[in-house]
Amino acid sequence: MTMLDRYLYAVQNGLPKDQPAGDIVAEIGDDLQSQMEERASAVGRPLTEDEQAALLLAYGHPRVVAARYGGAQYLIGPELLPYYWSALRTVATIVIAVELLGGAIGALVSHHGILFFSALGAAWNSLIWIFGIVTIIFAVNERVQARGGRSIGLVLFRWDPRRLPAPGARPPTPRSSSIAEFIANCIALLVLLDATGTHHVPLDIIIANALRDAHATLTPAWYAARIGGIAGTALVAASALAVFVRPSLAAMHELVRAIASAAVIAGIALTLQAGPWVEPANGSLNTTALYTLVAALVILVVQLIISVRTLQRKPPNRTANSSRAITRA
Amino acid sequence: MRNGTGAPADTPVFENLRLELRRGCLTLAVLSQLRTERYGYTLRKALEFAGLDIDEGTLYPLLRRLESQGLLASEWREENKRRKRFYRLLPAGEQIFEQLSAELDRINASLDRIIAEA
Repeated sequence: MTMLDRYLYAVQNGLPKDQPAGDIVAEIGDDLQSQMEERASAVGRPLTEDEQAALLLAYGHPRVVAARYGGAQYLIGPELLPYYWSALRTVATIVIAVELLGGAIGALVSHHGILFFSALGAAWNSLIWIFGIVTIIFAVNERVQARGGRSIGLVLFRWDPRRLPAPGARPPTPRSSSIAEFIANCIALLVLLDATGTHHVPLDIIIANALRDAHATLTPAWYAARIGGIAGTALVAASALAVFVRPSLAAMHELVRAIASAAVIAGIALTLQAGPWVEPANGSLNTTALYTLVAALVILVVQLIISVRTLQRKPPNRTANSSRAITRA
Repeated sequence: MRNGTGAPADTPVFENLRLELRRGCLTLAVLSQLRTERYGYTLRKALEFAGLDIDEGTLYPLLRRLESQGLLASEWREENKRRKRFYRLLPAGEQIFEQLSAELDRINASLDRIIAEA
């Protein structure tokens, strides 16, 4: 069996099942033989094995040559790709949000913070499954569409130009940012809720152990900061979830962030006034608590200033300009 | 050397745009050459001689597609002691070729005007 025969056999194996393999391979074989004969007559001798191999290499990998006879050349083509990314992001964020929310509720109800972190681990698994399932659905639809079927994108993402949102003060918040903010605030909320009584969340366990080793306890002065923190994180988490569902609510979210920052600032300020924060009051832990509260206060004030300045920015008058351009055209 | 966009002529950007520009023209060139019956290798050589290189990986699947669209007919015949697949234009292919040629003329005329005005 010659090298050319082996090459043609490899091409034949890669051809789509609905193509006339014999015909295609015979035609490619004839073309290659014609090329070899032309080169051989140009050099005045039969081609060496290396020269034949170079010609076949230039012709292309058998799988690539065979694939050109197939219908769809893409796993997911450019027409479906934007819908695919949207579907992947939406499904992944919804499933993960539900999983984490379930984990958070489970942790709060059972007083076992570890349940939330188990849900966090399970979310990684879900991501892989979601990626696989959504990709398979769209890859199948790509083939169905090539045979005249409907695009899943047009079915799932129906839109009406009359219902498009008006240009806002800033571009809509990406859903990935909203979900990241939601998760971060859920974790913070869990830490704050778990801070009293029996500790289950790693951070609370570490703090409780450190206090026990130092024979110290937290004073009731922390109550205001804790309540402010719980209210603030719960508000921001709920608002981030709302923005995830409707990204055009970004302006409302900024307002919620400002209110939440103010609530936490008020709580921390009250806690600072009510010191000492650790019993016995003369230890270095008290100074550490003071620095921690002041640092948190500074960060929150900066956050509040950013939120207020963002809220003060006026939306660009893009609609008016566009309308003028349309009228002129 | 740089093209009009400021990107050097041998960059991937230029190469991609060049391929896009050529894609539609290749079908027209193939249809034009098959007004005379030819087999794949001689068709490729004829196009190459006319200054339009086309690789085999593009040509043969294109011929098959045009045949399945009812624009070409093919038959296996023996020539120089080897079986070869000869292609020729069908009446429907002739018609499409005329329409595409007219369309290309229109596009060329418009482009000439647009480029001259620029």
